[in-house]
Amino acid sequence: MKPKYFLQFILLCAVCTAMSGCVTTEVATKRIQAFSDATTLVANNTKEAFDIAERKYFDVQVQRTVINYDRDGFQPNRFQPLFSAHSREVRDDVLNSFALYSQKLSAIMGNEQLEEFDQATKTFGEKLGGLSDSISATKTFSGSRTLEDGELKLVTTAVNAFGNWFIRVKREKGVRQAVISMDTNVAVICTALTNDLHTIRQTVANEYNFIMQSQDQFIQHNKDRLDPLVKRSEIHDLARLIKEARDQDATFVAINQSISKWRTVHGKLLEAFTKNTVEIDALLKQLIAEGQRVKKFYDSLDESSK
Amino acid sequence: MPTNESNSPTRQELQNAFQQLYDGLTQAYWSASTIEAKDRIYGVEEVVFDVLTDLAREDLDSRTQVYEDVAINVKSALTKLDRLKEDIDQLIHAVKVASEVAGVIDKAVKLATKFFGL
Repeated sequence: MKPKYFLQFILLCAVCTAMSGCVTTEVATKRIQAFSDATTLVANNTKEAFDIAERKYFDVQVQRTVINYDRDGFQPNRFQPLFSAHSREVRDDVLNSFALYSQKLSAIMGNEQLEEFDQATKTFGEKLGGLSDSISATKTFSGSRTLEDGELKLVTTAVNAFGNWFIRVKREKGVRQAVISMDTNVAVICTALTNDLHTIRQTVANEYNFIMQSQDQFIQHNKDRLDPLVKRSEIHDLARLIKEARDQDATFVAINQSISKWRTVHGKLLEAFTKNTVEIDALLKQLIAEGQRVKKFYDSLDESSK
Repeated sequence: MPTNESNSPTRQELQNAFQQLYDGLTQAYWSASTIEAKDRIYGVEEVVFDVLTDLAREDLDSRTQVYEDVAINVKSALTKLDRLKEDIDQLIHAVKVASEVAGVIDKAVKLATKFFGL
């Protein structure tokens, strides 16, 4: 081989070697888009779990009012929300920040002209900055635990970091840099969310127990007056509640696992740019499949309550 | 508000005790064979449910009024629990369940008394 061709051959080999570990931007973009879709699903399902806790709390108050009506009459002040408006808003905003973050990662991948985020995103970033004070004051995510100052600071710092990212991100830093810099914050918030869901899961289980006993009380006290068909229907409702409570509990477990898995996928997001993607692709598939299964369950509950 | 004295239980410990109590009462409710017994247990569970829900509220410590309300609910629960414990053997014929419920009542009453300084 002549020296000139030999040099060209060597150069070609070097380029091939350098490229063998990378994938095209198009493939990486698809993976980041899949991550964004999965994030939106996880965030929406988690909000749905909060909604369930609230709706079942309302059902508890309705049931106990029915049972105690002859003695207490109707007591409007019994109908208080489970979450204060403020503590619910904090939870929603934190989940929205995850969804928006992943959508923006996807946008950065797909739009080379993007220099900075739109005003709405920046405004949301500023709002997140303000949330830190609220979290400190209300101790959101602490559940029944009293968060240590250090733990609380970690959560507020992480939420602040998301806010700053929305305000100050520059495209040239790219997705890789964003993932690296946000990973610790993602981990902190995911831990806070899973702890929170653990407490809410127990609350929902308690709510179902109470609703079932209230339903039983209604049947017990009226069994001699109920029409046989109505009686059968009431007993059927009681049995149905047992299944619903079990499904609901399993769904809380699934959502908690989704959040942990989502955090793992985020940690592995840099692999979206390499050919070593067997694990991240599998995790993304699982995450989306699980998310869709949970969504289907919630949709079925909505259908049955119509 | 609870002090930081070493013998004062944490909110988590109190909540765990009330959760055990709630679970015990739930078991007792389904074990009870008469409507009168079920009514008694249901009446206590109503109060315990409220206490548990309030203890799970993250901002309990920062809302003085809510804290006071919880303390009132707990006081009411303790009176009902004491009476329930006295009659537990008559209400629930399953000895094991009755004995377990009596045990969790004792524990919850003890911790709540210390926590709220009642």
